Order: sequence, then C-alpha cells, then structure tokens
Amino acid sequence: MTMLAPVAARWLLAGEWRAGPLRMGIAVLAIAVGVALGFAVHLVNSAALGSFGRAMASVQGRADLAVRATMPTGMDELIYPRLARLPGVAAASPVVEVAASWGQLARPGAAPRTGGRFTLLGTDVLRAMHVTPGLIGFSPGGLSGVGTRPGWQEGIIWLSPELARATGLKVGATFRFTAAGRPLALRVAGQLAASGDEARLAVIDIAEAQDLLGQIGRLQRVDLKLAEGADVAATTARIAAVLPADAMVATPEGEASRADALSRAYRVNLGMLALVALLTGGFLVWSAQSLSVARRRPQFALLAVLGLSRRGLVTQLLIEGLLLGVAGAVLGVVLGHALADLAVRNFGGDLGGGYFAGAQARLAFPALAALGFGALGLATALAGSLVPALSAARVPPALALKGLGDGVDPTRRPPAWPGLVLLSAGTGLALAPPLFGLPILAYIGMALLLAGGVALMPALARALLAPLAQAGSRYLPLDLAIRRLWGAPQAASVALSGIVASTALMVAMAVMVASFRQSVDDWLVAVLPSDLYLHLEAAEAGGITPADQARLAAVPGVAAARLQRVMSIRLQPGQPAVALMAQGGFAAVPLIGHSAGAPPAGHVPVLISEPMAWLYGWQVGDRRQLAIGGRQTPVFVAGVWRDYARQFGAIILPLADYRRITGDLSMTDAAFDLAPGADAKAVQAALAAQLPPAVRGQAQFGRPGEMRRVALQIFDRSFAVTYALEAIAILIGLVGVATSFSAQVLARMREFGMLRHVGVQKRQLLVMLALEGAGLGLVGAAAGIALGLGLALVLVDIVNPQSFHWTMDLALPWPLLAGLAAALVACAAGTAVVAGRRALGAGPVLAVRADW
Amino acid sequence: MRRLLLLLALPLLLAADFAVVRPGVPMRFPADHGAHPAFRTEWWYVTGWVKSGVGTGARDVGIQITFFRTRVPRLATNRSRFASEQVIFAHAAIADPATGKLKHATRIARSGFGLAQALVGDLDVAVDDWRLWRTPDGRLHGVVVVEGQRLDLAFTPSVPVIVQGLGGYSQKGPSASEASHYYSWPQMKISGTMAGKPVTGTAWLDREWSSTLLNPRAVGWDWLGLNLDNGGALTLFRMRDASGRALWAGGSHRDATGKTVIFQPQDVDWQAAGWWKSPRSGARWPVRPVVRYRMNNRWQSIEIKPLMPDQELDSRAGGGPLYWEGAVTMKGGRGYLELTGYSAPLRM
Amino acid sequence: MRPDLPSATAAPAAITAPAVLAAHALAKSVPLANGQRRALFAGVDLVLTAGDVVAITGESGVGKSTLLNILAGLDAPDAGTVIINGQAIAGLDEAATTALRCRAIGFVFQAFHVLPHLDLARNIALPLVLAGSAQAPALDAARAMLDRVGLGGRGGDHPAVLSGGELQRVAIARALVHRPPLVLADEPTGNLDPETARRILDLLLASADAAGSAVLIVTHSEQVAAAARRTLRLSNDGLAAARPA
Repeated sequence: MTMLAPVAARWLLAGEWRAGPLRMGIAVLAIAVGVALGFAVHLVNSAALGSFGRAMASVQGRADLAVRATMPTGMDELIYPRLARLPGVAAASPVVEVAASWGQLARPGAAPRTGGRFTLLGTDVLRAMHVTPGLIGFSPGGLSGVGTRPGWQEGIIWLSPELARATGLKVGATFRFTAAGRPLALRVAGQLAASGDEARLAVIDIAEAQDLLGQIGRLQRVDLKLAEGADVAATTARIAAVLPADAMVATPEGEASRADALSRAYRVNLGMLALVALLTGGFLVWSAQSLSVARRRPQFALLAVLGLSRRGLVTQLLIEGLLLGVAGAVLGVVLGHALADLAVRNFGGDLGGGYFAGAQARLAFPALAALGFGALGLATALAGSLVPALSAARVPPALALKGLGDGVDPTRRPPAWPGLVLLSAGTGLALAPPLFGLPILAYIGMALLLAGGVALMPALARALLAPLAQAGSRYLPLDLAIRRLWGAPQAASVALSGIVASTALMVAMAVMVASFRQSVDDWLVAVLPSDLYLHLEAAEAGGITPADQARLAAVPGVAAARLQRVMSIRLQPGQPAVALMAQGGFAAVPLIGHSAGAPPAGHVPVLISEPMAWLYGWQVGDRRQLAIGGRQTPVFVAGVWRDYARQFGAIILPLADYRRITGDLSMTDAAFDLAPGADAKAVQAALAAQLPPAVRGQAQFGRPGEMRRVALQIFDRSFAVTYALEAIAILIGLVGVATSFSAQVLARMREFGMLRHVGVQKRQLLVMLALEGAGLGLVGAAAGIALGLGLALVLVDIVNPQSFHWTMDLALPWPLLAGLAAALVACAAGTAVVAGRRALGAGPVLAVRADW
Repeated sequence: MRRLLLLLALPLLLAADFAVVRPGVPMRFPADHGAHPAFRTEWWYVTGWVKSGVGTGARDVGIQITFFRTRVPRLATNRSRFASEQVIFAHAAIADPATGKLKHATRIARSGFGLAQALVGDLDVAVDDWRLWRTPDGRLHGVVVVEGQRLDLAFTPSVPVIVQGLGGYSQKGPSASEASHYYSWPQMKISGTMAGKPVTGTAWLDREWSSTLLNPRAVGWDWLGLNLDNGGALTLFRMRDASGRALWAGGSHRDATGKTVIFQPQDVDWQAAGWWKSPRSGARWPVRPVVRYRMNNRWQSIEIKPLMPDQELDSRAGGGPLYWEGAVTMKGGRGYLELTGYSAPLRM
Repeated sequence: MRPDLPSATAAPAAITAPAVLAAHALAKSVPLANGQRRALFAGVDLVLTAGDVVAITGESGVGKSTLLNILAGLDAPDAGTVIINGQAIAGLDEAATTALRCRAIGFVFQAFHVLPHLDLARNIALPLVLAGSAQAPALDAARAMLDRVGLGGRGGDHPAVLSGGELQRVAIARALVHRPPLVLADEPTGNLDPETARRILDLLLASADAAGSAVLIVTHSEQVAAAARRTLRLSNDGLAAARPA
C-alpha cells in the first residue's frame, strides 16, 4: 500500500490521459522534437562520416600503410623501389592520384551540373593486386593484369561502381574527362573489383597516368603491405627514415582521423544544438507537468485522504512522466530517422556544409544510438516530472482539499540565489578552454546559463513588476493582472521557462549567425577587389600553362591579371590538408593585427590564415619550414589574415617564390582588373574563349557582386539547419506558452467565477488575461533576449574560435530582436485570451460549483 | 615448348610487333642464356630432384624454379619509367612426399626500378626477392622463398646443353610458324640449402622463347624431361587435340657419350594411363603415362611413376590454368612430367 | 482484528464495546501573521465505539474541520493522542498512516470530491484498489454499493452528469465500500437542499449501520445533529455534550 497499487495507477493514468490529451500530447511532442533533432543530427553525421570514411578507404584501397606526398604535385618516384626493399614491407604499390572531372561542373547558383568530380588513380596492377586488391579492374573476361586483359593495356580505364553509375557509362564506352588540365578519352574496360559503393574513382595504368597527366617521375602515394608479423612501429619508423621532405606516412587510422577532423567541429556543434533543443523540451515537460500537478492538487489531496501515500503519488506522477517520455522518445526516434532521411536526400551528408564532396551518404538505423537518444528523451521527461511530483507530494492533503494548496503566497519572496549560482557556474564554464579541441565546456556552460536564467525568472519577474505593483492601476483589469503576476511569480515562471529558454536560444543563434554573416560579408568585400575572377575546379594536379596564361592576360579589356596557384599541402599526418596559395603579391587579404617587417635573408615571406595560426600554433614573426618542391623551404610568417573559406588553414606565398622553388608554372586561379569602360561580360566571354577546351568544363568565372551573393547563399544554405533548429525552438516555446496559459486559465476558473460574481465583466476578464499574457510575454522576451545575448557572446567569442578557429565581430540584428519581442508579447496575449474565452464560456456559476 | 602455362593466360595482342621464330638461327652462348625481349614470351624452367635430410630420414624431394618473361607492347612515346613492356613472372614449388601435395609460391612484376628484370646477354632474371642468375664460373644460382622455406641453390653444369629440334628451332605444330627456340641443359648438379638445411641433387634447365606456339586445334600438351642415371637425357612431348590424339610430337635422346637423336612426330607414341582424380578440382590426370619412342628404328617403352599423385597446381585464381607438374621416375632415370589441358582446353 | 487498548484506562468508563476511535487531550493552535499563535481548541477527549453516531457542532473557526483532519491523521495535534482501531497514529510514519486510513476510515465531504475523469463505479472502488484489491472484485463491490445508495446500474456514468445529491450518494458509497470501522463526514449535506439533505443523511446512517461503521459528523446543521445518537459541541475548551444523547 505504500507503493501505488497497479490497478489504481492504471485508472488514474487513463483518467488523466482522457482528461487532457492535448496537454499530454504537447508534452510528448516536446520530447519527441528534442529526441528527433538529436537523433537526426547524429544519423546524418554518422552516415556522412561513414560514407566519407568508406569512400576514403576505397580511394586508398585499404592498404596497411601508405606513404603520401604532402602536395598534389607528388614526390619523386624513386622512393618506390626504396620502400619496396625495406625490411618489413611485403609489397609496395606505386600510385599516381589526381583530381579529375567530367562534363560541366556544378556552379553554385548556376545551371544544373552535367558532370562531376572523381579521383583518377594510376596503378601498377601487378603491385596493386597484392596491396590494394579492391583497386583491381574486373572486366566481363576476368580480373585485369593477370587475366585475359592486362591492366596496363593502353587506352582503357576501370571505373568504380559509383562512378559508373554517375556517368552512366557501360563497358566499351568512351569516357571523356579532364584530369590535370588535359582532356582524355579512354575506353571503359570494366569496373573495379571491390572499391566500395561510395567512392567515385577510376583506375588506369600507372605508366599511362604519368605520361598523360604530366606526372612523369612523380608519385602521389605508395601503398604498402606489411610483412606478416612485421613490427608496425619499427617498420613505420624505417619508412619515415627514408622519406623525402615532401612525403609522409599515412596510416589508415590517421586517414580516418583526418576524415573525422574535417567535419568534427561542425558535427559536434550541430549535436550540441540538438541537445539544447532536447533541453528545451525538458523545460516544456517540466512546465506542462507543473501546471498539470497544480491543477490536480485537490485530486491528489483526495487520493491522499483515501489512502494514496506520498510515495505512491510521486510514483504515479513519475509513471506519467515515463509514459510521456517513452511516447516522446519513440516518436522522436521515428521522426528523427525520417528527418535525417529527408535531410540526406535533399542536402547530402553534410547538410549543405560542403565537407564531404564526392561521397554518397547512406543512412543506417543504429539501434544503439536510437536507444541512447530515446533514453536521453526519457531521462529529460522523468527529470521534468520529478520536480513537480516532489512539490505536489509536499503539500499537506488537508490544505489542498480545501483548495488552498496551490502554493500562491504573495508575501513570500522567491529566492534568487539558485539562479545566480547557476549563472555564475555557467559563466565560469563558458570561459573555460576547449576540451579535446572542442568547446564542450562552453556548451555545458551555456546549458547552465540557460537553467540559471530560467531559475532566476520568479525573482526577476517580481523585481521587474514591483514598481508597477506598488503603484497599482486605476484600470481594474491591469491592476488585477499586475497583482496576479507579482503575487504568483512561480506560476508565471513556469509559463515563462519554456519561452525564456527558447527565446534565449533563438536570440543566441540569431546573433551568432548575424555576426558571422556580417563578418563574412565584410571579408568578402575585402578579398574581392578585382573585377573578374577565374577559378579552375579540380585542377590541383595542373591548371593553365604559361602560354595560355599569357593569352588570357592579353585579352582586350584586361588591364591586369593576377595569377594564383592553389593546391593543398599536408603538414601533419591525420590533419586535413592546408591550402597553399601562391599569389602574385599579397594584395587583398584582410590582415588581423600587426604584420612583421622584412623577412630574414633566405626566408620566403608567407601570410597565414587565422585557422592556420590557431591549428598549428604559427605566429607572426615565426620562422618555419615548409616542404614544397621536394625540400624544406625556410619561410617567415609575415602576417595573419582573416579567412572564412578554408577552415583547416591556408598559407599565402609569393607566386615568384613558388615558381622558383617548384618549377611549377601552371595556375589555377586568376583575378582580372578590367580596363576602364570594359564590359565585364564581354571580357569574360573573351577569356573563356581563350581557355584550352579541356579545362572549359572546370572553369568558373565570377564577378565580385555575384560571387558575394553566391557565397552568402552558400552561407545561408549551410546555416539552413541552424535556422530550422531556431524555428523549431521558437515553435516549442510558443506551444509551451499556449499550453501553460490555457492550463493556468483553466486552473483559475474558480477565481474568474468569483470575479464575475463580484461584478467584473467578462470583457474585463479577457482584457485582464490579455494583459497578463502580454506582461508575461514582455518579461519572458526581455529575459530571453538578455540571456540570449549572453549566450550569443559565448557562441561568438568562445564556441566559434574553439571549433572553427576563426573570430568574428559581434553584430546585433536589432530589427529581428524587436520583432521577436513583439511577436512573443502578441502571441502570449493572444494565447491567454483564446484560453480565457474557452474557460469563461462555461459560465461563472458552474465554475464556482465545479470546484476544479 | 611446355610451360606456356601462365603465358597462355596472357592476351592475344593484335598487331604486336614480335620477333618471329625462324629455323637456321644458331644458338650463341652465353647470350642465349639471357633474355630475348623482342619475342613475346620466354622462360627459364628449372626442375630437379634433391635429397633432403640425412641418414634414415633422408628422402627425395622435387623442386621447380621457373621464371617467365612476357612482352606486353605499348606506345614507344610513353616517357614513364613504368612504361616497361616486360613482365617478369616467377613460380616455385616443392614436391615433398611428406606433405602429400605441392607447396608453391609466385612473384610477378613489371620490369624496372631494379625490382624486376631479365638481363640481355647472360642469365640474370629477378623479380623482387627471387632471382636466377649465372656467375662467371659458369654455375647457375637460384633463390626463391616458398611458403616460408628459402631455397638457395647452385646448379653446376656437368654436360653441354642439348640444342633441341633443328639447331634450336623446335616445331610445335603442323605449321612451320608454330615453333620456338628451344634448348635444354640436363644433368646439372645441385648443391645448396633448403630452409637452411643442406641439399644435393640433379636438375634440368629448359629454355624456350617464342612469339607463336600453339596450333588452334590443340587443347593441351604433355611433356617429359628425364635425367638418365647413366648420364644421358630424354626429352618427350606431344600436342593433343580435343579427341586426345597427338597433333604433333617430338623430343630428343642424348646418351652418356653425348650422342643426340632428335625425334620426329612419328617417333613418339604417348599413352595416357594411371588416371588420378584431384579431390580439390575434380580434374582427372594421367599421372602414370606409358611413352614409346623410336630410336635407331627400335621402339623403346618407358613407364612413368610420379613421386606422389597429387602434384596438381591451380593458378586459375590468378587467371592461369589448372595443370599438373610433378617429379616422376622411370626405370633408369628421373625428372619432371607436365600435363595440361585435361580439365579445360588451353586457349591462346 | 482484536483491538489492543493500551490507553483504555484514559478512556471514559462508559466503554462497553471496543473503541473504534479514541482521542485524548487533543490541542491545536494556528500561527498568525504577527508571529503569535491562536489556540483553536484544547483538552479534546473523544471515544467512538462500533455503531456509534456522533455529531460535532461548533462556531465557525473553532476548528471542527481541523479536529476531523487530526482524527484522520491528515494533520498533527499540538498535544494529545489519537488511537484508531487500537493503533496510535502518533507513532506511525506517513506511509503507515496512509495505510491505516485506507483500511479503517471512510470519508464524506461537503463538496463531494469525486474524480471527474473516473466513472462512478471506479470512483467508488478507489479505496479498494488503493488498498491493493484486484479490479474485478473491487468493481463488483462498487456496483453493489451503487445499488445500496440507489444508483444501481449507473456505474458507467461519469460524475459530470450527476446532481449534487447523487454525487453525495456516490461519496457515501465510496466511504463505505471497504467497510471501514469509522466514517468521518465533514458537513456532508452542506451543499444540498433540505429535502435532499435529509435523504442523504438517512442513507449515510443506514449504510453505516449496515456496514457496522461508527460515524463522526462535523456539522452546522441542527437537522444533522438531531439525527446523531450523541451531539458534542466543540469550543476552545474542548468537547462538551450539546444536549443529552
């Protein structure tokens, strides 16, 4: 009897569900939305990362170990026999690897794409078959090389299944594509044996690859198979000892961590936001349960008198919370999976973030993660139910039975210290350094700030309303509204918690995105001073030759052409590659802070981007070594520039120095200043006509205005998920306000009945409710915006630098904030009136008699 | 001829500019020990019997160390170091009755980068850690690793080479173009180590190079190379058609004094016998053939007995054929028997 | 159960049957806004035996309902002891008090207090299922009680369609469904018209008689007080007989 008897529990629960299906439904939905968001983000992330990892593994062919050139220009091929002869190395497979593309590449905001990118590999099939058997071609006649069709037969190409699908090419068809700036046409001999489903790659003979792609004497990597029982560490050390400056050992784990590092910050941030959404759901459950408990106090009192113990009561409320949680969790997991499916299908695995180009995401249903997120939702629901349950159990039943137990005592001052403690703890954590390179503590700090803000609401509401309450009002409805709000701040804060939490989150996100967008916009203006820009996609292995460059510069209307050679360079194994940009002069980069003076003798001056400085610890004035052109080149860090385009770092060095060191005279990007009066469109057409036919499909022209527009479009798209999260948070908040109000209004029906009996008109009551609602909305909006600005500061000044390694200037979207406040006030007042109309429709007499 | 095995699997390359096998080209040594890269294919095929272990534990073990060179033509304009036309394939096997079946291993690589090559001018063919070469003292050396057992052997010639066929022009079919340059080097004394233990024995080197071999009607062949106890050497082969009859046959006999007789097709009569069914592949092999040959107008008959029945080799996973290559004995001699085309026709 | 009466010596000598309820020297005061306390009553002694019907009257604010709550273990007295069915409430924890109440006491309130979302049968069966009874026998007992209070066959109805008198019948049925030794009623007819009130009172007393329960009624109503076997008047000084029994 101390616990709740099962039959009684069932009856009471069923009764409650019948009594308030909408209220219960909304609590379930709140949990479901939180769980769904968290689960969806997790699913999308793991799908994207999984497919990206598999695609990477496919391109690598699952070798035990690989030696990679740090730059796409490759390393000297003579490393291959040296590696092959090392003790512990069972087999070595030399590989030429270049980026390639077919058809017309996609341009953001331009015509639909008719082509795509892929990785073109040149292998020696006789070596690859021992090291990376997945990269062996398979024709209808059998395996290549040792079978009826040798892989080094000229003029043929083997496609991965995904590439064959994407191109629609069958065996025997001719595949026309561009690689290393050269047009190629090879006959499709068949598909690769086991290259996975995700990777777009093609394999040709290594000799042909070197010859056709201008890679004579160069290898991008050597895949290694270790001898059975070989000491991996010792072998790796032996390998590292023979490597030239422009090569490094890449382990499969290192490649996996590189894939992980590529999108880690993005994923973790989205995941954290989803958890915050779940937290908001928790507030809503708390709010819904609190109100439901307050409303049912007399019922609980009756049950207590009839023989339901306090523990039994708590148990019943927790079972209610549990059912809410289970329903919410199940619904959330289903919803989350559907959401993720939709997102992956429409936006791709990186949700438009652009991290996983060239990999097809595939959604799975990980039972463990589903359980985990479901459990999280359940825990949130239980936690949200526990507090009201305990408070309900504390009320003496005799008091509650008399209808006096709703805890409203106008003389009691709500304590401020719990909120203040939470706020200061949150602030402390928000300022903490990153954990595992991620702003985890800052996120926990944000959650605490949120909780603190909500906990502070009663005291805050009271403090804000104190002057009004003292003054009173001669307008009866206003006076009644103010006294109610002032006298029952706890009740108000229950209604407010959801709205404050969601408003704060939304404001934080809005301010962060606005700041980011403003900074990006400013930055775009700064980095795009020329009139016309040319960029070659997928041209790392070789762009436009000097002869073509001269022809471009000579196009009428071009006053000046600044050339750029962009490629990636790996500085550390397991870290994403850094962009190396050889520019004709250091114009047009927005420097941060001071720049150093003249470089010391023998040093090449370089500018590094902000993420580069953050990730590798380089500082202005540092002397460093950079492995370009096969040897270490001493460089001098002359300055740090702001860069939002390359999250993993970028280095700018003078084009002349680059050409001197590497002998590479090609270029991949160019900026053109036009002669006065020249028509940009005409010049662009003339330039395009001068491009060699092979690279026309890869060439993208841009004018600053259009590029800015496209860049901001991409920016907005990659933040689309964030906007969606925001909208959902607001929706949750408003739903919370609506349910709180209607529940509270229903709970106060007796009060309204009494007021009508003493002569207050129905209309006056509605005005009173509207004013109460507006007051609550105002307090909630004010508190939410204040809290949100605090959270925004954490996002802008702590989370972003810690995750993405760039800084931005705070920008406040005032119109948005004002509109938000107005919307909240209007919505709160409107909801209150709607709920009031319903409550008052029944008539005052019934309200007084009905007791509850 | 024989031992086209893996080469058979290589493609018919149209419009290939290969050297043609012609009669009247004299053998020159040591140049002909070395590679002939203009021809489509060639091989160095060492087979032999060694005595493994000592005292009562001593037993006879068969060994094969074979290197193939295949030319895959490509555009001469390709400047890549990888643009080699020569592929080196090597195969080694140990027939140990204690094991009951063959231990074997392979190596394959395109020549170049010092990792694989076949020297022109003298014998030196290598692929990765395997090598077969001739030292200035006239001895041959072979180093291979088979399933963890390292074979490090020296082969000391005791007799001159047998120039097969018509001065080294060995016809393999009814058409004069179906032929190879062919010499054999029997009665080589083996000394060296197997898995670190000293071994001795007798070996046979077969050398052939050609660009066109097989008659279109041929489905396979049988080959025997036997070192005779009296110091002589017997070579026998035939090409079979789908009905199992000989399309062509040949061989040679050299006695202890060095007197050599070359067999014409009508001088060899090969009768399949002693069928053994492989439990792995299901193929049936005539591992105890009876072969008659006519020398000096007298028919001789020899009965062949394998060291063990299971000396089947399956290279189908790598695109090669299923064949039988094993150590055999006859009364008064021992050597190696090769059987091909019994499970499915060999095709070029 | 065999009543064990450790405090029987404190009870009046008139006891002839086992005491269902025995209260001795109860006192209660309430806090005021100025920090002082106002005494409600003191020195309350009360004994009810099986079949007893006692009415307590008194002025408003003297603490009649508080006394009832103390007797039910819902409120704690400042001084004195309460023994229900031989068990002293003071020594019990909350769970045990709840269990005792569940077993030994039935309640009838002025404002009926039925759960709006349970049908009549379930409302009546609540004390049984809260005590751990299975559903079917509890509902059977509830339907039997509905017959007794004149609402036979209406077990599936919900409280919303009932009149005040009918609601109080339901409350009486609920108070007696588990045959408690003691029924506590707080102004059971306070919300009813005189005619209905009379019928309800008769029903309560008849049902209690049939169940063998003692009844303690707190009331303002002369009519109700007149129906009781004994009437006591609560004042600041304690209980005194209002008129001869």
